[in-house]
Amino acid sequence: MLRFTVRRVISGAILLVAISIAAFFLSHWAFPNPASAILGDNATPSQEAALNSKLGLDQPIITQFFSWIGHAVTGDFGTSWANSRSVTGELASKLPVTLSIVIFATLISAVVGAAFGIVSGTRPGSAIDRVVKMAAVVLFALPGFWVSLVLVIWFAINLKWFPAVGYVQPAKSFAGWLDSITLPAIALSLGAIVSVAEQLRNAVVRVNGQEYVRTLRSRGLSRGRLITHIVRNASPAALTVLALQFVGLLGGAIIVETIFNLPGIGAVTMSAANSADIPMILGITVVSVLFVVIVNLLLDLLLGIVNPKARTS
Amino acid sequence: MTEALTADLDSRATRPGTVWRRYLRRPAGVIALAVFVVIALIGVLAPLLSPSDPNFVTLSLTKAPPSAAHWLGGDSSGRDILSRLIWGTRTTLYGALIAVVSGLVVGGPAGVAAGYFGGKTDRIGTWISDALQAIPGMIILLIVAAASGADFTIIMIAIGVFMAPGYFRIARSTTLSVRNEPYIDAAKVAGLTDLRTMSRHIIRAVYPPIIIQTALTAGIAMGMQAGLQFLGIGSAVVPSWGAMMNDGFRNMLTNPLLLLWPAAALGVTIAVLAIIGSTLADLISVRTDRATRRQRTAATRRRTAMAGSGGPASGRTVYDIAGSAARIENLRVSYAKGDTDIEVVHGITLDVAPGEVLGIVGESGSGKSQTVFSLLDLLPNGGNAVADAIWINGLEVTGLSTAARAKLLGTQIGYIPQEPMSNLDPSYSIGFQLVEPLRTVHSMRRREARARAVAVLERVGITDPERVMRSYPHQLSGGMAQRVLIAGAIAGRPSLLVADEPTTALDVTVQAEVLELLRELQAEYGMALLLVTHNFGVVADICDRVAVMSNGHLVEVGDVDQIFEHPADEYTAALIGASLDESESRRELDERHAGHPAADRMAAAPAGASTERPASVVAEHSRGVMSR
Amino acid sequence: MKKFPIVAMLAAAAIVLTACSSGGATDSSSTSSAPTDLKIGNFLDVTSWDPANADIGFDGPYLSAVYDPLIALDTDSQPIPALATDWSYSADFLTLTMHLRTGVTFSDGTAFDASVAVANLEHLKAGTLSGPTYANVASFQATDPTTLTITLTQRDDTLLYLMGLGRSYMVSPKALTSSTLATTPVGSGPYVLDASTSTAGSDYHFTKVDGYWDASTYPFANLEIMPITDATARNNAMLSGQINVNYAAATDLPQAQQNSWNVSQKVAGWVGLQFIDHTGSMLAPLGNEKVRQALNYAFDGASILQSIGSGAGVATNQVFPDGGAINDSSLNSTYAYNVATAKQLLSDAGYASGFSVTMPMSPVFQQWQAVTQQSLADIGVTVTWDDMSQADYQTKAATYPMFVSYLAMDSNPNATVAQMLTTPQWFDPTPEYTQFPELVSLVDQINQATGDAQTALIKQLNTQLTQMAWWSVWYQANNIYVSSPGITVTPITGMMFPTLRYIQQG
Repeated sequence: MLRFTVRRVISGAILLVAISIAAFFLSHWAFPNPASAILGDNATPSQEAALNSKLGLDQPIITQFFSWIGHAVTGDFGTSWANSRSVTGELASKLPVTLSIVIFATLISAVVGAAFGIVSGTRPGSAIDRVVKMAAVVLFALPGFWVSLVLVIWFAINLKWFPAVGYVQPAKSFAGWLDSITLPAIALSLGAIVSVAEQLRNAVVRVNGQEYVRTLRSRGLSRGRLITHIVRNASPAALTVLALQFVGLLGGAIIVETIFNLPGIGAVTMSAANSADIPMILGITVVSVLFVVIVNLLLDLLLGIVNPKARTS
Repeated sequence: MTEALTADLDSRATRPGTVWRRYLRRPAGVIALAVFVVIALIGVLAPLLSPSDPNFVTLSLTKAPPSAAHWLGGDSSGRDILSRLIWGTRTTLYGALIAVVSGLVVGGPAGVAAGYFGGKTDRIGTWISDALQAIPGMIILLIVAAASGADFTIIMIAIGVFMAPGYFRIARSTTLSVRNEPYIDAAKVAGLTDLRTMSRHIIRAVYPPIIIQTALTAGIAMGMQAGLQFLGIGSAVVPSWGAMMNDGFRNMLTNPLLLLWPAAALGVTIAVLAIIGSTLADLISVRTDRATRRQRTAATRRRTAMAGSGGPASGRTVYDIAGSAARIENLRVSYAKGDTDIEVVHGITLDVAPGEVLGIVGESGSGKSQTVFSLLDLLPNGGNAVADAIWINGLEVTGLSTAARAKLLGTQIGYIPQEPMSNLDPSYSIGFQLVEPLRTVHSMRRREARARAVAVLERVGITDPERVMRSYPHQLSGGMAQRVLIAGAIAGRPSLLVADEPTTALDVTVQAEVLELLRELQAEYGMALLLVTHNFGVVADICDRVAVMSNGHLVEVGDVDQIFEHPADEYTAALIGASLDESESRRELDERHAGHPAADRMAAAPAGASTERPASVVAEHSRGVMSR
Repeated sequence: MKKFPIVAMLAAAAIVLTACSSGGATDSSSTSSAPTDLKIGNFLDVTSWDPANADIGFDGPYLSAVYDPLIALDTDSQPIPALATDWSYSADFLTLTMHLRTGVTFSDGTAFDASVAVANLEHLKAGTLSGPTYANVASFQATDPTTLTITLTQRDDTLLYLMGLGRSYMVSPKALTSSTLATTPVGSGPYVLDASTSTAGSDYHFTKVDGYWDASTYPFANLEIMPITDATARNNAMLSGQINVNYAAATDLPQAQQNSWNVSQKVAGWVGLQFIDHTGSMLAPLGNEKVRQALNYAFDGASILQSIGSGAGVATNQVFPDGGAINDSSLNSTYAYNVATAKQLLSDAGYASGFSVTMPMSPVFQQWQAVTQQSLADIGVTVTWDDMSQADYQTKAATYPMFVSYLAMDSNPNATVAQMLTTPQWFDPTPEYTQFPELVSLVDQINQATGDAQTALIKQLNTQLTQMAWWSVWYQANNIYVSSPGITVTPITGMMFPTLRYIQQG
């Protein structure tokens, strides 16, 4: 298990480094002349040269890269070119917001998706199975922002159960924090619920057809006991799709943050992209991928726990 | 997350022509396809269909309600919504096409190459694919949009690249499954180059799942495109559904119709793509589902009509009811196939007494396993058994509820399956799997149950039961696993033991040991043993009486000695000959009888342990996954 | 699928949506009529708590909560006392003497006096955003603890107005030298920022200062400001009661009416075409007055205002705000929408078959893109659009000969002349009036004149600019503020969001 964990950590680290390298060179390629983007077209060449020198852009790209990655490994992603704020500081204040709703949405989709998946998977072809399937098509087709708005109008404006906009830090009020992320997380989770439910449903159906389930049945096990066995064996599929959903949710959070006015990385990403703020872009990309790598690592460990084969061999 | 849908596909079960014909029998799929064709036509014919220039501004038309001149009214800039909707179809489809093509071009060939060549090519390709999936696409798309000046084509290409892992995975896994098929080897032997091999055979196998993937990719690409346009990225002059939704979003509280039309257009398009994809996935997937209620009702109606009719029952009973451990009278087993039933067991009658070993012998597909599963009430989905009566230890069970029959399992009846490795739950330790039924079914205390489990393991000849209790199935050998399964079957002290080909999957040396064990246990506990086998050698070793089955009929029942010496039926004689003649394998026997009229039908029925499900049965079952 | 088509569900949901929103209406209208808490939904986050780096536009509510200005503006945009109790110019308009309020202390306990004011003004003069206000200042002196003298290099008729608009906020001298000024304000204003309950970028809470010298101007016991950039989200916040004053969009007005919210609006910016190239150096046709006039005739400003602007504004063809001293409504008919006249003028100028122009475009301006393209096409002018982000638009738009613009206006006539005509701005980096002698002479006369004579000259300049078709102004758009019953907002042209003294109970 330890060797398995270490191998996964190393593989995640390699992925992170590779994406960092790709991100660095691609962003410099995409924004070939950041000084002019920062200063505007009316800047004189001497102003641009001064800025280039100040930002270190007059150095060879390789030198810039090693300087950047050298600081990045210590957690220092430099200073935003757009507003001179520390990228790390900015991420530290914005990322918790995005992660709050993404992690909460992941949990919601895990719990609700699992419930639907198990119920419909153990009764394939039944009315509830067909309802879940149809809900899947509808949720798949509905624009996410539209769903968000319906949630706001029903639960924030009419029922006043949750705030319509804004974010409360958990340190200031835990209940307030939970209130402020509930609607965004629900809006974000709907698509993922569908994925998890469908994936788990199909896995349950597949496991249900396995011979060992029939053998377990022949031992006289109750329905509840059988479902426990089936779900345990079907869970790797659901866990895998959940980890993949996490990546999608990080991106989807940008739209949800706009509608619920959450101070997450969405707005920062948009403005960084618009202003060719390469340090910020790189910071956001690398830290997002870092979280994806962490989630994938957690997935691998969970799979190891669920699947004794991975754990014991 | 599109790979979810294609995860269960079996490329071997797909033949394009039949898939297409079967697709046309699915109403949901046909309607979805028709809607999509209409949408595509609208996109292609936009210049002809659009009532006016989509960018023509009539300021008085601003947010105008629907009218005769403007069926859907005007948008917030005073443009005809219907025209913009029609032209937006074109934009949306164009964008989706770009994304699909780039995803396919990037992911498809790479996946085929990874699957075909394997090794380093595979590892590198898979790694890159995984890396792409670890990047939050939306963030990168915002950057691409900013760097490209929101160039629509470039953005859609970028979306396509992020969708490429879906294509890569499906192309890779399909290629992998086809690569080792005999005809690929044959092609290699015939001197075809790698490239031609791939294009001839692999592409043919890969493309059905690719079409499914494409339906979903297109839907997701449309959703992402709309999402970006919702964030204000893209041109307002080019009519697009996303831009229209953005406009509608700003005015939704005062003019909800502005949002409704593009949202409905996008929603319907994505939904029909999803339905097309999942219908296709369903057609070529390898799952069985429970029949729908409509099918079950119809089947019940037919069976009610059938009961009492049909041909004469075969076989006979030799004990009275009180003296039998199990007694089956006129058992018929059928499987629903579409609106008709296929009968695979045609009315058989047999019984077995306590302390007796009855062998049921027949080639695969003869209905012997179906008979046993009917006794256990463990027929696969879609299977249905009717009998004049089934008696277990003097109790007539055909009138009992499913739950009441399940109560007999593990207490009065023990079951030993054929394939040891696939009949143990891979996720739980052996100890857990032995102790759990003792505790929950027999209400034993933990310590007591554990002691019983260790004892039965010892009894079945396992030398280190404590270690085996801690082990997981994958850590056991086949023979060991089969002993564990036997231990599980007898742990509940049943009076009737049903063994379905208990030695077939084992090495020859182990086979004899296991048979010996079964005989011992049967004698020790005084159980009735119902042993299903295709091998007369096994019968000779262990059985008192034997029932020979062929094509769902009992052709002969009698004492072992008598049947060996004077087989009454030609088929029995052939089976005996095959078992004694080492050179003739079971497979050859099966093949020899393949020409038999009933053999095809037999093969089409789920043969219990078989993993192959006839595609036509699968076809009637449910749709696949949908996700985004 | 057959039983329950998706289209039907979407339609049903949309109807529910509208039904709900009117349901919300009855809820909110029953709120109490005398709110003691002020909860503002602002468009943007505070740019910086350092007044030197803050923006006048939407920073007003934030800065006026924690800082006192030397000078404030009244509702007619005339300077009124704040920390400065009175002031006077020398006869040559080169020395400005101010007397300062005594007994004022900052929230860190430091006392306010003339030397503190000098330190602050020097900080503001050095600031990137505040610096231009003090461009003509030679020095600041503390003559005595309550007297401040500002020496100018040349006469400056916009100084008091700009100081009042938001360029004279006083910061504690300790904070002025600290590095945390941008994030941690220390002022003498009516409220202090409660950092423990605030979340930067999302929600700012303020508590009232006991014994504040001007307490009657700031009646609300608690203040909260939420920056909410998305208009729909802002309206949702208003509907849900999270805010009770909102920077609203014209599309929110029907709901404001349903909810019996107070609505106040006033012209804030002009919408139209900004011409960069009046000499024709980039785009020859633009150097021709007839062409620029044709580009005025080509746009039906009143209709554009009604449709795209939802009627929230005034159709006028001038950059001086409607209702002010300079705007001349009789000029509004000068270029009444007339495609034939426009074509004739183009033809007279030698462009009978029109011409082509490339213009920038960003998401903010997309609402006018279609009508611009079509109005120009109607007179034979073909537009090619360069799509770019809003940030790029602000740095690159002025490199194009003309572009669609929505520019904030000033209520002070001198400030308008400076902003729109004579001083470099992002939308006009190299003012071209210098190449037109008639304009130069008028501007010179304005800078010499005072009082009514000066006003008359500016009116003359306005007429002149209108005739020269210096811009193609379609209409002036309102800024709209909705507030719960019991709260009134008085809009000030020049402030995108008015400072707190203009938000009152009643």
